[in-house]
Amino acid sequence: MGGSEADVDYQKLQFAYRHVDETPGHVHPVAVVGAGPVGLAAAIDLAQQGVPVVLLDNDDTLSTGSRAICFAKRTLEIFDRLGCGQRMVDKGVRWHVGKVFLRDEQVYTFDLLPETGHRRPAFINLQQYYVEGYLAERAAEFDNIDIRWKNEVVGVEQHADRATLSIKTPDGPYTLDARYVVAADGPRSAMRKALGQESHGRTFKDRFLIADVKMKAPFPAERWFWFDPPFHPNQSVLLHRQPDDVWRIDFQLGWDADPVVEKDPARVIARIQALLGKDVEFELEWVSVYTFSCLRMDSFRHGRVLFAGDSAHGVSPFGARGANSGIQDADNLTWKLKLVLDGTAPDALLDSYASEREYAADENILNSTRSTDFITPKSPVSRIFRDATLKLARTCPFARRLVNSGRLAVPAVLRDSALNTPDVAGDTFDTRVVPGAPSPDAPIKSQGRDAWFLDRISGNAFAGLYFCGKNEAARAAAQRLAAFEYPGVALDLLLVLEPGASLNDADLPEGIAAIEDTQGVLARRLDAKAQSFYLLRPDQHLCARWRAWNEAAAIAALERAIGKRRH
Amino acid sequence: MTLTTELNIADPDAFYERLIETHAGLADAQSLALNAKAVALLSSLIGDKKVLQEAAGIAADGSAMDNSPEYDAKLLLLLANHVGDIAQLVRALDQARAAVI
Repeated sequence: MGGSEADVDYQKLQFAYRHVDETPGHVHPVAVVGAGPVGLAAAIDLAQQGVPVVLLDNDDTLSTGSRAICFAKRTLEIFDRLGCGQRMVDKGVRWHVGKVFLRDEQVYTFDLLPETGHRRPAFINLQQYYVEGYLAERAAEFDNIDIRWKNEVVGVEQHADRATLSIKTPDGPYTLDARYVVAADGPRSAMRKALGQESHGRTFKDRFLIADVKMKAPFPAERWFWFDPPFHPNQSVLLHRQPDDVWRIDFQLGWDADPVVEKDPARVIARIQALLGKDVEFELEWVSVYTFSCLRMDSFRHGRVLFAGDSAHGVSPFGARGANSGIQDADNLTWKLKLVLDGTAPDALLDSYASEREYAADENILNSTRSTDFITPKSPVSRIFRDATLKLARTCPFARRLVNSGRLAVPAVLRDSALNTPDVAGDTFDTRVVPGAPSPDAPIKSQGRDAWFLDRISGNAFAGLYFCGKNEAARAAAQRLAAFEYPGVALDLLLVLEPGASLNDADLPEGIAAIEDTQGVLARRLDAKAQSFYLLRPDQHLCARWRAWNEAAAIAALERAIGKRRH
Repeated sequence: MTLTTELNIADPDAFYERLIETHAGLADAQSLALNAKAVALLSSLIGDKKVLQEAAGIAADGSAMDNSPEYDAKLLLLLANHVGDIAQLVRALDQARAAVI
């Protein structure tokens, strides 16, 4: 690792096609279709839980062009869980400040992560080919991931207990049976077509030009967004820094722009020079003209096939909600697949994947649609309000909150999920971290060493957190907790000690460990008091909490979270 | 009372979306009339001369009294934020729309 990483040109990597012979009658537990970021993440997450995966890709290369570049805090935390977060963060450009300009004047600036006590930054910018490259290298570390390049799925047949995929290869066609199929094959999903499904939504009549340029520029690592700048009148422009001195410049072109003409390098260079001035030297890295839609499939589950990422939903790029939500799809799905394949949870648990992620997709689509409508007004009056808002934003704080240059990706709070256990009457919590929310991070000590909370609970297990009071006999609490177990479900039980307290794990019953909430941040973020107990899912979403330990209630909540109990 | 310029609307993005939706299908002239009507309705709802003057001053942005469409839009946004309550705002917007179609 280290210095050699920069030498890999992930855009030029070519993966070898291998001939495979399927054993007749063999049914794979899971086939993942599409080795993009979402398919790779799903494969790694399944493999690290011991589920063998066949990963099929119609091509033999990674992403061409930088494409998705903004990876959000929650996504990085998931990459941490997958064992490749640090590489991403080391290579990526951290940023948390955004600036908004109207014409040539800065209207306001915002900070996405104003508080400390989080391991990961609000965002990093990293070209999609690095993200895919690092994920592919991580996937290669698993013996139970069978990546098959140049394996194009051309048909799917559903059965009661499995799906049969028809696959085209350079050696001719073959079929493959899998109990479940994760369709992560992108916006033009062949799986979706093969099942006769389509996505529904709104296509926006606008064109945008992405120009990635390599240059030494004096701009800071911030997100700069211009409305109607003098160098590109009447349209918007977005500037973002990527690693390797590459800068993303995104020009709104309008619907009438000719996508072929606009890709002409001379024309692109003229647009960039209008922004940078004629003296700045740069090279064009990647140019793309695109349109976009906000849409989704009606259902993310069709029998044995589960759709994830762009195959299931699409958004405008404003807000970085595409790739980020796709990674969260994988995060939501894989622990459920594992429990269902093990026979621990009923097949119906997978319905909750669909409903939870459809809810998240709707939230992303709503945010992304609103941003797009603000950025590209659809009527004269809409334009008047936008400009009025921007002008007011110079002096009025409320107007800054109305300015919408993209509501940047935050994970969905799965508030209404059937997997959550509602708070017991009388238990009140003063925190935004409600059941359904992803757990906040916090600095902790684990076995005497500084650590991060989310990293500590990244073992694909449910986590139970019991907050010990100052004078409480921690060992006695541990004895009570030790009774909490459930057949087939991995449970990570943690005693959370107050700042300054410590306890040797060797003194605790097996299966229970202690962590120190070194600055009290975890308790504050969860609004925990002495004896509060929290149950977190393997994807680190909170699913139940109580002010006092109650074993029967905890078991019932766990059963609900794995789909074995209904309301 | 003074004009509130801190955010006073619970869900600003939803409000903004509703504001733009209220104009759906209207001709440009109707839209401008709607804004003028909405400003009048919100002004009477607020009913405090000092607040209204302050808002008008910010909307005019230092220049003399302005009758531009953008002035009305700014004034509407300022008054709407001051009122804050989404139910009252939706009522005023719907009433203004009904008055121009």
